[in-house]
Amino acid sequence: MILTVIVLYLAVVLSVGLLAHRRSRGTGEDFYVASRSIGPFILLMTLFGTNMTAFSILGASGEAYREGVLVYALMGSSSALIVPLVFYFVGTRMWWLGKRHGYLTQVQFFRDRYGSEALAVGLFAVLVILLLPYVLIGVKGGGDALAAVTGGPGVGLPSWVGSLAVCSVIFIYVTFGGMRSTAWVNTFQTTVFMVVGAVAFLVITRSYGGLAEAMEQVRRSVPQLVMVGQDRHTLLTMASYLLVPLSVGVFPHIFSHWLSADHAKSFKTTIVLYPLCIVVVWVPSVALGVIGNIDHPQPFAGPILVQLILENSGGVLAGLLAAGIFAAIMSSLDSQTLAVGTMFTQDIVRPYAFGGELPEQKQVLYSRIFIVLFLAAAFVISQITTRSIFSLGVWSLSGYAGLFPLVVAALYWRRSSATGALAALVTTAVLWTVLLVRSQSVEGVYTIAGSGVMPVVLIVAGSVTALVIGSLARPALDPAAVERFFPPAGRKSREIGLRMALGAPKAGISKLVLGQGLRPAGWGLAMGFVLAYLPARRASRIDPVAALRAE
Amino acid sequence: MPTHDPPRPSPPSPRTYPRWTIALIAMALILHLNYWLWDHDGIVMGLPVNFLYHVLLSLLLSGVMLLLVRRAWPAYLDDEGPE
Repeated sequence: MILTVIVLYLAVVLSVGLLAHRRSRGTGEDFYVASRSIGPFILLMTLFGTNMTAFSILGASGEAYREGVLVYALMGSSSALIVPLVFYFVGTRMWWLGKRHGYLTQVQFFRDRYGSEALAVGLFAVLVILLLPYVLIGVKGGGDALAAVTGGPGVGLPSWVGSLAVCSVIFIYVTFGGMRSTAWVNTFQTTVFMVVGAVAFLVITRSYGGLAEAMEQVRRSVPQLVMVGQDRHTLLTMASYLLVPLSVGVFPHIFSHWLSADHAKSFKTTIVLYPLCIVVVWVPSVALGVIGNIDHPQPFAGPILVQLILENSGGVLAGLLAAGIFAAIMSSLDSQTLAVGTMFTQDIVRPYAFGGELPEQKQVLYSRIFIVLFLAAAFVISQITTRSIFSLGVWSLSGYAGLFPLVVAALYWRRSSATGALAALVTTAVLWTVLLVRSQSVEGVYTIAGSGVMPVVLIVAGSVTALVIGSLARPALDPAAVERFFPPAGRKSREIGLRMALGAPKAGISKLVLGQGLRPAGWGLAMGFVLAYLPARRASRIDPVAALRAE
Repeated sequence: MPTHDPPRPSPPSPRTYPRWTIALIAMALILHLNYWLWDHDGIVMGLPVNFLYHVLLSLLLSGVMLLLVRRAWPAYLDDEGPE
């Protein structure tokens, strides 16, 4: 029964993907960004689905089982706040630039904006490397989910079956239909995992006598799970988690969805409804994880959500749950795969192997080849690696968040320079690697010097500092060249014209413009220092005796 | 550089993003920290109090976003004429 539901589900996914393919116009732009034709509803569903991964369903409920309702505050709530703001401030402007200058990838924009090949190649490498652990989570998650739903280790299907199924289905519709198939399929999948979450939530809470009764039972047995105030989770942790979702401003797979929008106003629906979508998916996930404590005292090995479903409902719901998990996984994996295929072709093959001259049909062919190779590699690596990669997920996000200042500077700070951007890129890469290595020797969640400050804070602060210092250390880029990347000044240029007409000296105008450029830089520096100072001060106050005893 | 001003549907705003947007976002950030309910363990409407708080905050955020896209939508974005 479970398997029938899953096979049916995958068949529907494939048909939606192939149906979208029939609308294809056969051009490169159609393959990469669906001819920039996606409307508000599909944009919302595909962007949201791309952001929800296996973690949002399995990981969130597992974390909530261990840590309690705090997980919603740390992860769901911070996404509901930060992600739509990033779409509003960054997504729309990237879309505007993409349409204006015909970009298909982030690297194309950065190469143009700063005129630096070193930055372009470095950025390409970092973006792709950070994507790998994220992709592996999906491939492995698909295998683990199928194995768990069909009976667990030894009894159910071996994990490679699910991984292979996920990779094969994605391979078919992404190579065929490119962005349009991806967007359509994601819309379907997002609907599926929203509905499945709601159904699972209703069925399970009912069998515990309703939500209120279930929560009451948890409060009686493990009271700290219904509170946020646990020792380790200080205000600092709460604040530092706000930086993690900044990563959506840097994800290559989110970028290509932005570019696929038909008009800027199509973003409005996504921006307004995003927080509601978070509620729909995260509330069931977190609540069910917490409720899992009633019948399963900690620690519980394996996905708690799958366990609850298997105990409280029949085969159809278990099959649907697996389909829902597949939906969450595949709606991210397809976009990531497409983005990598696009980047390899547009950022490396086209400029370096063909000097920019490559017919569109050939470009699409190369992208398809890369998509196949990338999926095959992801599948093989997922089978040979034994370590838990779930924990690498938040690291992947932290790395991307470290590049966020670079995106903001490129879009909003005229005075930023290639040197600054490169400095930020290198700083992010170095800090990320150092902190990742250090975290290996720590049990549980790694925070800076045990202070509650997440590594992401140090990475972002370092990146901002490097960006500002690096930019100010070099002469500014030619203002005329930079102006192409900013909205027509309208009022400001009129103001300057007026001042000049009234006889304002040139030096005065330069000072005015320079002052306006330096102000954000000052803010950035100040913020960077505060962010770096807080953990440092906390670290210096650690009681050595208590710290050693904690070992 | 365009030599003529594009037609604007609404009275032009002096900045791409008005100052109140920053104040609004700062308020949302402060509300997010929820320092005041941390140790409450009450259950209201079936949800632990501070869980419910964050869920309500998410709903409120939709309203915040609505204000942003309605009242502070940058005019240049809708200007789709040739460069």
